[in-house]
Amino acid sequence: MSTRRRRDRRVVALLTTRRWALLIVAALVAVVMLVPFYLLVSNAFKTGADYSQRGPLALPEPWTFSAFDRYLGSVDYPRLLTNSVLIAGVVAVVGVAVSMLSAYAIGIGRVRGRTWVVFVLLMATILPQEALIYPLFTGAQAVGLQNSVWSVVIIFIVLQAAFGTYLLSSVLGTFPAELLEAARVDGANRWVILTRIVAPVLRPTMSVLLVFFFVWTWNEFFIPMIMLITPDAQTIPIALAALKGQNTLDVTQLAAASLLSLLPTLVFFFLFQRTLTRGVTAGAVK
Amino acid sequence: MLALAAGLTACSGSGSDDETFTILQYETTSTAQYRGWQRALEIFREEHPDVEVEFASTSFDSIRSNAKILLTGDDVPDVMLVNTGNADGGQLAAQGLIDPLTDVVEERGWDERITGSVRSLAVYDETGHAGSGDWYGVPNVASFFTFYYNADLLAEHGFDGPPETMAELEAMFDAFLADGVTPVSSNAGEHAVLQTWWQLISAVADRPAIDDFIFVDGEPDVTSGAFLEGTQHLQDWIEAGYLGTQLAGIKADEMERAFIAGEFPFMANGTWSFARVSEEASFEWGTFAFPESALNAGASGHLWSVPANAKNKDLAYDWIETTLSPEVQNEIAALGGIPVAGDTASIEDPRMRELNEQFDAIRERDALSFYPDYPVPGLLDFQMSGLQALANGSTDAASFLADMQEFYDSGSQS
Repeated sequence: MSTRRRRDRRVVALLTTRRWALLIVAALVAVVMLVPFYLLVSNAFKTGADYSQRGPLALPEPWTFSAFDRYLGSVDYPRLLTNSVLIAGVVAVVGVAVSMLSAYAIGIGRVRGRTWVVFVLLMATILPQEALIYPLFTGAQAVGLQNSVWSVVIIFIVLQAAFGTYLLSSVLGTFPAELLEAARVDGANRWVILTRIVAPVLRPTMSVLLVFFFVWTWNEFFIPMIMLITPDAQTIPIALAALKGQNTLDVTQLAAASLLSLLPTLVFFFLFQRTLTRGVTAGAVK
Repeated sequence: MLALAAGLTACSGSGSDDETFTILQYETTSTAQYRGWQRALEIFREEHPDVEVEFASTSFDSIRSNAKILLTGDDVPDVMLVNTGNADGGQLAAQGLIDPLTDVVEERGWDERITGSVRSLAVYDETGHAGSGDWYGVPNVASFFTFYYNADLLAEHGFDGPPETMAELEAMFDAFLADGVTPVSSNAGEHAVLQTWWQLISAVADRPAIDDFIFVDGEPDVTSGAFLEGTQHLQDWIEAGYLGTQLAGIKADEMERAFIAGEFPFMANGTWSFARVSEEASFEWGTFAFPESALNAGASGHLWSVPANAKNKDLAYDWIETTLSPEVQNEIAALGGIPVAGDTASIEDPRMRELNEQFDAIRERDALSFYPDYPVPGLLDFQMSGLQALANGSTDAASFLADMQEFYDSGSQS
């Protein structure tokens, strides 16, 4: 009796130690992940002289908005934000819709040569963007969309939808045949099957895809940099890059600008965080 | 007759009315030239009240990789900043993407103000090599390599001013080392050591040797003469510890920061650091050119060029004229830049005047020696990695130069 209780106590002690160890490791990881954010925030609120004299690690002395003032004074931030949100938003929504439609044809409709179609789409996502830029630029010029956000919107709808189609069509390839069979027996046509049966089942996956498309497009740099020339058409990452001169770099302004560009993505992330986790684990319990 | 005149007016009117005049540039907003151009914009708008002007900004890297794509289109800027050098402006010129400006330059007398080695990087021959041929752009500003010194630290260690000779300079370096202070803030992670190296070569080189190397004329030998002497000099500095021991990991920002924080008595860097040091340093400081140097590393800045497909070329010439006007040029000088056609005597700030006086002296002696990466594409990366190897002692002057000769020869023949 007493030996057993002693053993129990030892087990409990062991478990507690292990839990504490885990907590400490987790805390360490958290600190490591927060350091870059700390650097970003603390340097964004410094004056240039403070940064230079006391180094990048110190806390601001005094706290100031001067770096933000410099950045906001040199760019039209609301305009940049509108452009970025417009591009990323439209691409995410339309991209998912296009992916769904074509994946439905490939995965459920089982069109002839679907393996090749998927293969070509996969190739398209692997191709480096540098290889595409000349034709894209000439094309945009031919239809009068150069230096317009819509050129970038169209390009990224196609590029993201290529990946989305690849992903969704392989998911749809394993879609339960019984469900489709039952729907057909009930007299559902293709459109009804897509909107009433397939889409609702795939909603979590589509939400994740939506979030990914948004974030990926938001961070896109190379193609927007070449397509969008004037400041009124540019996106936030492009304006950020323009802060680095040939020989000069205003670190505090860069930190302030990065912080401002991070905020919209953070807001977006918190809005969609639940969708994201739900989507990733969808199907895990089935 | 009247109808004809009216028709003509309508024509010319519509030409400038529905077209926006677009200026494309990539200097960051904190630079003296960017701020000077804001003044130029005001003047230009006053002189052309019926023209819609758009002043667009992009990044240096963007123009570096996209200028060609951008200029092949129909909708090009009317006047734009172009990088100097064979790989950038030279290529655009050779491919006919930017217009030769020689006639305009002569007609408006710009060639009287921009001469000698300040002019060299504005002219390109039909193969796109700088140094001779037609004008393809007009520089507004220049930069050169110089020493910044911390007068307070110098005084603390018993020196009452910057050195006059190379021997004095090195004696000061030794004195600081003896006191446990690394004398020069530098970096090999970006371009400071590269330019220090080129400055030490320029110090003992003559004009023909530099021009042959930069403009790929004849078969320059980089393994002997000034090249060997200068490279050996840099190796001596590195081995003596003048430039610190951790060079390769340091970037330009860190180098400037450490100097401004008062950790080093000297910093060897280009004049582009001037604005930051002058805004942020809390000690007495100044600049002095490398002592006893025959030539000085430095070059005219980016060029205002007119794209071949531009639609408002006369306005473009007017814009360039405005940027070269005494008012704009002096404004740039007052903001801490080095204008190519400014009036140094009119600068009020003593440090800025001193810096511009250094440049005037260099210009009068026609002593700009450019920057070492201009002649061959890829040379910058080669020199950077070679000098990093030199900085950490894994190669020496002679073998670095032998490799560079090979790289240079194969690059200039292709």
